[in-house]
Amino acid sequence: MILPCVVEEAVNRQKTQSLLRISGIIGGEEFRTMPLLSRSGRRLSWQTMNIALNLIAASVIAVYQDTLAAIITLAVFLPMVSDMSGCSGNQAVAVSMRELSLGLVRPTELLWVLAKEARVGIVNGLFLGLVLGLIAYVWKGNAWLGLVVGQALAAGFKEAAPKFALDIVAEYEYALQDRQFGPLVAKVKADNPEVIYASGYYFTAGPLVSQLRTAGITTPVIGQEGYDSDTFMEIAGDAAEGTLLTTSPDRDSESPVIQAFIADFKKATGIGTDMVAASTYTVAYVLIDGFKKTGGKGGAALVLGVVEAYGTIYFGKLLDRNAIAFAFLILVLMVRPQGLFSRR
Amino acid sequence: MNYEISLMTTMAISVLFALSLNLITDFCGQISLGHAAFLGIGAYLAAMLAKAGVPFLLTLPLAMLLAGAVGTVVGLTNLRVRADFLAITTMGMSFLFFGILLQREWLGGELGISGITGSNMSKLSYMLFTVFCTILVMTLCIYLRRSRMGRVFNGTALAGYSA
Repeated sequence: MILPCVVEEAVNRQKTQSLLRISGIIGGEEFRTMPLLSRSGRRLSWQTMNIALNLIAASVIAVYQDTLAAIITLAVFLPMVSDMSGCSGNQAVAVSMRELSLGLVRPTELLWVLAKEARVGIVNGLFLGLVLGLIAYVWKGNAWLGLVVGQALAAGFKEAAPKFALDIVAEYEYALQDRQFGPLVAKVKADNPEVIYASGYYFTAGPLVSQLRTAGITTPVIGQEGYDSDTFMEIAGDAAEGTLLTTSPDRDSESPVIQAFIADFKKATGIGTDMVAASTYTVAYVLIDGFKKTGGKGGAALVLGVVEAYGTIYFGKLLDRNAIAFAFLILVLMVRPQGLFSRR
Repeated sequence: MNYEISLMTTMAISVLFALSLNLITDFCGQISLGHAAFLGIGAYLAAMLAKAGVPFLLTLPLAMLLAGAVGTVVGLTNLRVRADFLAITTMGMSFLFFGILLQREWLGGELGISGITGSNMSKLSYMLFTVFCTILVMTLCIYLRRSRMGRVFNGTALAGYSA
């Protein structure tokens, strides 16, 4: 025989535990009768972890104090770096806390969890560093990063060359700080190529092209990013005349010359030349890869983001941004309570 | 003494709100993150009616009715979702409520409604009125818990957790 009071007690116990889990208080129930210090200690363990994580993030910044003092523009990126590190720390805490409260990990598995979170941190750090580096490049025009992009383009050129029946007769290397290309120019003269493809930013490209022309080499030079800047033309002077660029023309350009070039190029090769398409391809590729890794959640988040962005344009006067996103979310859940892309 | 009276009044209103939330989270064991929206719906209607010249005591049941009606609609739609998604939809309701309010000029937009007609009660009697309402709701909650309905609530909570 089961007494009603026993059932009620069991129900209450179940409810209390669930509520504690929701509030992030773990390690069993917390009673009012518990000593003050043990109660505060249980809660402080999580809060102090947050302080420690933030301190680590701050100390990393402190290590680079001198660099920061030397390059003042870096200060612009400082809040971003500290925000991201803080967020990563909080994420790690939140995820670990959830796992602990759901019983997915035990406190004894501390080292394992720590190692796993560290690995996640390194991967995310590398990715965010790359993203921030690219932002810095676009925003502040960092020449060094331009060089990296240039080298990547050169590698791409080498890879694609056989497809277009191009023979690479010789390869030349120069260092970032090189401004005198005497030996290199002599080699080029000896090899006598039909065309020269040269990567590098304007501070190398300018002297290089100028010295090639001074040596009497009339071989066409194909450059890319860096060659399209005014500074290149200033440094190279008259020698800049006739240099070819591989930077894709902008399809939205109003210049009839560029539009005619795009049309002719497509007619001749069957391949569109389009800077926007190239960037979109990269973005789409990254997104698709992301979706593969996150399953339906990434796709759902993207759909929600698109609805929120476009919804704000058309319904911004009726509802604010958050409300539009949530209205769509609720609508989706009414139709598919199991989630937008869930197979269940 | 005026400060203590206002404080007590605010406290009583907050306790009323907490009791109503308790009905859902404790009695029924369901998560609700959008509860404030229902308080807001009632408050906005009462304020608008009072400004239109409706007597204070009449604004209260009308406000309750509207909040209840909206709650029923929300409840019926939320019947389809469970657990995490229930939490999300209830939170969404509150964002939706704020989103609608903030864009409505005639509801005061971000500044809210000002110059609301008072209840014609003295500060002390208004405090006593709110405390009385709180005690009334508390009694109702205790009665509800012991009633047949309370056992149904408890059953919902148990079924929810075992599901």
